[in-house]
Amino acid sequence: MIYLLGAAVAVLLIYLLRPPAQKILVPSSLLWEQLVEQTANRRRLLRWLLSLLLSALIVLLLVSMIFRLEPRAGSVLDPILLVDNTGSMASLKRPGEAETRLDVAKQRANEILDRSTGTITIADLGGSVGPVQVQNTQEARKLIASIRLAPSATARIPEQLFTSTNVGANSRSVFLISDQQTVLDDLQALATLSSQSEGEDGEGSQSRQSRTIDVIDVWQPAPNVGITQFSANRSMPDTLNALPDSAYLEILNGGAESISARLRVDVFPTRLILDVKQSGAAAIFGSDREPLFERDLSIEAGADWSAALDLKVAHHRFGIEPVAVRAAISLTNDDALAADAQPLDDQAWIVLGAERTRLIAPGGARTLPRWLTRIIATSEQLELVRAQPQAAAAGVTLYPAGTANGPSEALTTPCMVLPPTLSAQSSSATLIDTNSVTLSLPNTTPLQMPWTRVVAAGPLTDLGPTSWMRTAPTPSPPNEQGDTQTMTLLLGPSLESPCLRWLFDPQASQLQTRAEFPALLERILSTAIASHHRQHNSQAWGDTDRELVNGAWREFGSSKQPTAGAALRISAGALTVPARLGAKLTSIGTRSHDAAGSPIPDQPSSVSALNDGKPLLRWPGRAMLAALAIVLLISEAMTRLAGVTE
Amino acid sequence: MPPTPATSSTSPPSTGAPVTGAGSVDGLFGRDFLRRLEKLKLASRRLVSGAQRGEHRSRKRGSGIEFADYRPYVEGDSLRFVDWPAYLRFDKLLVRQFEEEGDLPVYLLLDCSESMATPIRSSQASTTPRDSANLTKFDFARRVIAAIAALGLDNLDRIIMAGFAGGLTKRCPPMRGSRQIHRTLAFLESLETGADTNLELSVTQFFNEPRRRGLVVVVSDFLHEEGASPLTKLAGLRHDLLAVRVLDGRDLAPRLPRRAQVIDAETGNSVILEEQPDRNDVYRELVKDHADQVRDVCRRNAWSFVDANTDAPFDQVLLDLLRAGHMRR
Repeated sequence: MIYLLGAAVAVLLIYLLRPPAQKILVPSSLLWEQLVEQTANRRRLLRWLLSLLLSALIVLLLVSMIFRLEPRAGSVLDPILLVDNTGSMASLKRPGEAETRLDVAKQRANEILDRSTGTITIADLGGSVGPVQVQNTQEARKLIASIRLAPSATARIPEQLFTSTNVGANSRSVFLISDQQTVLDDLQALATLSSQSEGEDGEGSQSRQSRTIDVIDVWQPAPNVGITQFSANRSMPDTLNALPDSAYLEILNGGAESISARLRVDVFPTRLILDVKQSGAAAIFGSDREPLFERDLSIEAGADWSAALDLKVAHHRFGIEPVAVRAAISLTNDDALAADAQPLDDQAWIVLGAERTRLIAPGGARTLPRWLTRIIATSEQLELVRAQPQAAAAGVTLYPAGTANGPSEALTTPCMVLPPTLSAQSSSATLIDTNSVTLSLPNTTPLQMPWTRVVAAGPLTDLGPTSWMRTAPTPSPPNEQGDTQTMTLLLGPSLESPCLRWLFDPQASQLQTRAEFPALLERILSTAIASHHRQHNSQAWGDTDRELVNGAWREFGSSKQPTAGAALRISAGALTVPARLGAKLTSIGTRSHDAAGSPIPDQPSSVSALNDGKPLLRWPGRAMLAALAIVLLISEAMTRLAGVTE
Repeated sequence: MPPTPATSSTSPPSTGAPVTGAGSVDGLFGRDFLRRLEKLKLASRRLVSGAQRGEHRSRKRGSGIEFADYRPYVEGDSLRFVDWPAYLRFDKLLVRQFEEEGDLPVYLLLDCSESMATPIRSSQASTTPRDSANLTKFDFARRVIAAIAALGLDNLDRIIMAGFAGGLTKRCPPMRGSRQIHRTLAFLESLETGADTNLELSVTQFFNEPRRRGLVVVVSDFLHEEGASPLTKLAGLRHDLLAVRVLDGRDLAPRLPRRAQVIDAETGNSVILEEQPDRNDVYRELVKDHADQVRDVCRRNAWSFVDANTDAPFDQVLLDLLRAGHMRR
């Protein structure tokens, strides 16, 4: 404040102390008067223009506020519409209503047609229609209306997408209208097509054509049976049982009649779900994999069914990544439909996070390189064990691969038996990725470690059988290259960090010298950490998923809508997983008009949500206010113009 | 012609002697200057009538030597002018007509307002030692008038001079013949500046009296609101007109401090000029517009306009006057 006052005083002083005007006698002040007048006119004109601009801006803002002018998607040029008509689309919108998901999908398609221009390419996923290219919306509507439920449960997404994009080669907008409960024959094919559709028509990056796939979800919950609880229980960490995950599942029949339902628990690699851009949109669709758990249930009216599920296998299957587990129930009253194509009556998800990577370094933290220290400090995925490797593996005798299959004599000291195969090995690093490491303790039965990855920053063959992870009272002598065989070990029973896998991916590993290892590791760790931060800081994915990074379990509620008579015990604020996946799709790059991505029937659809925002005023009020604003603007302009001309 | 009561007339001595450097004449008009003027002749682009014979073509057919036209013979015509060869050829009596040379009334009006009293920057117009100091725009204008008058007198034209400011301030009786140059210069010497300009009133006062058609020369800076528009009154009188705008270099491109208070020499009005980067450019544009306005008035009436810059050599100004078609060597 004092500075402002000082500045004001300074300005005032400068103004007062300005040099006085020097008096000069001129023959005539006529031209000078004209000059002053002209200058004043210019200033007046400038002031008028600025004022008019400001007025116009205010009016525009006012009109924009009144009408809620939003950047509409505008006309869609040459769209490609892919309508899912597989078996799951036969699900009724609500019990007793005749409207199916396919009907909803047709409505969405028609809404897209309302703002479509140019040629329209239409195909269904069952293969009965199209791809057909029409020139006007009338024909397109007829084609949409002609789409019927396909007898097949398998969606022909890759083929239809491929042929549609060939037919509508000029189109950049692909709309896939589906309930996302679809059997896919070839996930990889879709991923390839998806990536092609994002950048087609080009041999080089400069000529690539951007094409996006908009997934419009028409999934809706079916009758009144729901998963009321699906949560994972975390056990205490156990070095010998690294993945002690189990889940508790509870299903409630809220209806008045007993039901027969099929429970199916599927496992999805989270990487596919999270990183849709990389792997295509495949992951959002139903699983074509063997279910983790499947069971037919019969639940009486008002009763519930609960069970504890062992998720260890689920975690093992996908190794070091977080895993998404979906529990889905579907009524089995209609046996005509294939299992995968049956409408899901309810589904719930949990995501099993990855445990931290345990980093054991010799000499503790002080001996670590600075970059690694920094990464550890900022990473939520890395954990530093401040212990000497010798201490960590005290008394453990290691038998390297190829040199021994295990101790021949009776074990009297702890030892670790490595499998004969190495997952990857370069001149400077070694990876042993195995689930068959045997850990023997004295006087005990040798234990098989279920999942172990051992990483050594050096070729294992250069290390003597007794110098690795064995108590070494004296430093190891230099090897042939002059490097001290001090071991930097990345060791842990659950080395889930994807970066480590990428690092030692045989195809990706470019390690040539030992000196490259820190730089490469730093780069990969940074990439992985940044990727995780992006994913988990994503607003679309939600704050709750931050916990995934920390390895905590997250419970997701059911997507079931509470209805009368249903004693659903889920919290009202729980988000449904399909909605979250849709939101994730939006954030990742595929353009989705449905920001919420919600499959709830009463909510506006993906497309209609764009135009159905409730304005502040209805039309009469809008028109009056708009007219008033225009009159004000014209009046202001006229007044100012008159002022200038005067 | 008697002087109007409102104005005073001078009666310069009619010595009839050639200009040899008499005191007053030598002060403002140097000998070289006057010698140069003698070589110039005044011309008019229009044919004018004159009571006394001068060296200008007249519409009157008379006893000149330059053939003008034929006309049928009527009784009373002198037989001397009958073209007998034409009679033999056409069997008609035709009388030859000749252009009668008449004198040209030249009305010289000099702006004597206070705005003309500002000293000029350049001494290029100076021809005498006196010029080196205190030479004003008014002096420069008097020399222009003197040059035109000298040529007119030498050409046997009738020269009528007057000074004006808020009205006619002083007028000189008509003079004719080169012997009157002394009186002319003495009259110019006697003029003084003062008051503000009222060109319309001055023109009205001057031409209220019956004037023969002739050449009107107005020498002024035209730095007043009306500009040259009051001169349009003369269009109805079918006078030929030469407007000479006299401006100093400081009028054209003034050098003023960042903040200046300019005071009108005539009215005393002042204008505060704040700092403005493009002030000089704008002013030059206004000066150019002002010149264009005067020039437009002249062009609309088929008159001539000469922009006389005091920074330019005086010979250059005379050359411009010659180019304007009113003087010839």
